[in-house]
Amino acid sequence: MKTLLLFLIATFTLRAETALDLLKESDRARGAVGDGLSWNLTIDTEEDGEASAREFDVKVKDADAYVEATGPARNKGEVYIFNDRNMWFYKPTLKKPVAISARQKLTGQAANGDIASTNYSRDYEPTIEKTEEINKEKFFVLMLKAKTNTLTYDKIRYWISAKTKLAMKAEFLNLQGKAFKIGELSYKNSVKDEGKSIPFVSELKITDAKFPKNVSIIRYKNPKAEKVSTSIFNVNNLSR
Amino acid sequence: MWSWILAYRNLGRNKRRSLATGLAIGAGFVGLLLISAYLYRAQLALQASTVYLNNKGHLALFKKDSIFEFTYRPSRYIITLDEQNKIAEILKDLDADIEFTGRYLTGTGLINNQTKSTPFIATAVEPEVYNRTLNHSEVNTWTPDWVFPETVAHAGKFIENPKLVSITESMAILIGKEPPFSKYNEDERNIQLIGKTFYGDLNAVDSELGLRHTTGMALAEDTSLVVSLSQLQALYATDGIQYWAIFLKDASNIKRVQKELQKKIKEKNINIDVYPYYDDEWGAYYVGSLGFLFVIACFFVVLICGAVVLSVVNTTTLGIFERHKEIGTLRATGFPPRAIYSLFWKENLILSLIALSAGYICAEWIASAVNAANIKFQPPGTQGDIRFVLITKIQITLALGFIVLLINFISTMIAVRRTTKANIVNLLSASGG
Repeated sequence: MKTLLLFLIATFTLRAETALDLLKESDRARGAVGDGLSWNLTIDTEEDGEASAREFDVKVKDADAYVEATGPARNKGEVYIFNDRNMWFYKPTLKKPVAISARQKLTGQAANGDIASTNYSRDYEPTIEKTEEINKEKFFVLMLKAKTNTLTYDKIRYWISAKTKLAMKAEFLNLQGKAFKIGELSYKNSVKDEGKSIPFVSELKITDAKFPKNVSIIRYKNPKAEKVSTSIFNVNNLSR
Repeated sequence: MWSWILAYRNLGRNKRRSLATGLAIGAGFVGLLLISAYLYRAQLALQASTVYLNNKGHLALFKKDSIFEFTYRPSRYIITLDEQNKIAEILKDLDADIEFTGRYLTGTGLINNQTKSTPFIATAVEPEVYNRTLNHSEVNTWTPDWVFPETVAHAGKFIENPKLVSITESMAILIGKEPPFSKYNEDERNIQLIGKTFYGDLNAVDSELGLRHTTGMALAEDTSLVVSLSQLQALYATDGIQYWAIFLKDASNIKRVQKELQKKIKEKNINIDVYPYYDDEWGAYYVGSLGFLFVIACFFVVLICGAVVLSVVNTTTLGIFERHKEIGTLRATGFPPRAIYSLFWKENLILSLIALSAGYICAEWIASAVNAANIKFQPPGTQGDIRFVLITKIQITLALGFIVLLINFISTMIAVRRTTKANIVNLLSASGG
């Protein structure tokens, strides 16, 4: 009986570790690497028949991110800072930065948190729900549960390739556990991490689960590893 | 003349019954006058509140379908700067009828004081217009207790500093900044308004806590914010407005001015609709509240009039029954039925006039006593207390007096008609009187 119990505990522990390892591995391809990373980002949105585009420069280091709007002209100079799990918005006309929610809609289907959330393994509790075969490729289907209520999503169903360890699909779930947005990722970029070239996300397509014509495509361009100063993530430096 | 004297003397023959009838008429008239006094004040207070305090104006210009759709798609239903210029030209032509106009914008967002945020529903006003509406004589006359005295006194602050916002006491508690805001230093008064621009982008503007106001409605107290038009336009990155309100010099000209406006707008080919403040869609609260009050009042009026009619018919019938022999004698001595008929309505008219005069004095006295007692009450769904005020109006008093006289006349005719036409012998041999 004792042996069986130990075996079961060991199995669950192994399964949990595997889920976390998978998530950590997949996070690397989304920016959770080294001393810092930067990239340019565009978001093209099609919503209710109206098209819009946004451009940003992103710098990340560990759990922090500095995102500066570069286009269109009316948004130039706007800054989003991810400080630990808090998020701030600042523009030159403001005296002080404004605390905002990562869940708030940024543009189209993209929430504020979508533009620089790189570290799912830190923010979410993963468990493997099942395995699935899509186009003859095996995928682990993970259920990610938010560790705090300040995160962008409460739950995410996350498809990670068993072969490449890259996340290929995500279903963003509401409190009732139903998908309200669907994300599809592709990895045509690469970055250097510890001397090795690793794949890096090139596109995240987020589709409204109810109205599939409403789509936002986040395109990641020119990703490069670089040393990023921690001072840029200090919100106090933004105050006038 | 002799018939009037006779009629007056007849009233004294059965003083108790005359008193009972007179009391019924007088009490009914008092009831009608007090109901009308309450309704009159309520209607004018609601009108002043809708037009001036709720910024609806006597007339309002909206983009077609904007009343319902603006909240969902503001960018599509905004009145653009170009359209505003065209409207301004039209309004110039109606200068003689217009006292002043105001441009308004409403929208939602979050108010943030660095540590706490709460949602707001903002009404953006032009500072000069805000000052003018709050200090308007109609507001001062009819709704002085529907607005904080300090709000009226400091309304001009918006002109000095358009970055000021006015919030309700409930919202102040929600963001942890209880009024008066003057007790905080400039940095502590600083707050930020966060919202989505009409392009769909996140935006924020710095603002300053300045004034306190009340909406008068409990449901709206947690979210109401009044801000200058320029400030909300900056937040939503627009130079457009939601509607243009027109405040007329004389409210009785609404229909004429509305027609003229519609004609001129059509000529200029702008996609704009004109709504009066009592429109079902635009002034739903005004229309609904007044409708409810009128239904309640009608119920009481029917009850009072019914009681007066029954009382008059009853006492007149009794009087006629007792005076069958007298009527028979008068008829036998050559009095035509019309003369007897006239004698009875003259009696009733004299009694009614005395009762109405006494009723009027009594109603005025009650109204003065109620007003002096400063009675306050809180109608369901409202924020804060409202003073119970009764205001009589001479035209309404005369109209009601005429209605009571008419009711009495008809009641008397119903009771007298049959008896005066009866056979003289039957009348003389009747047991009554």
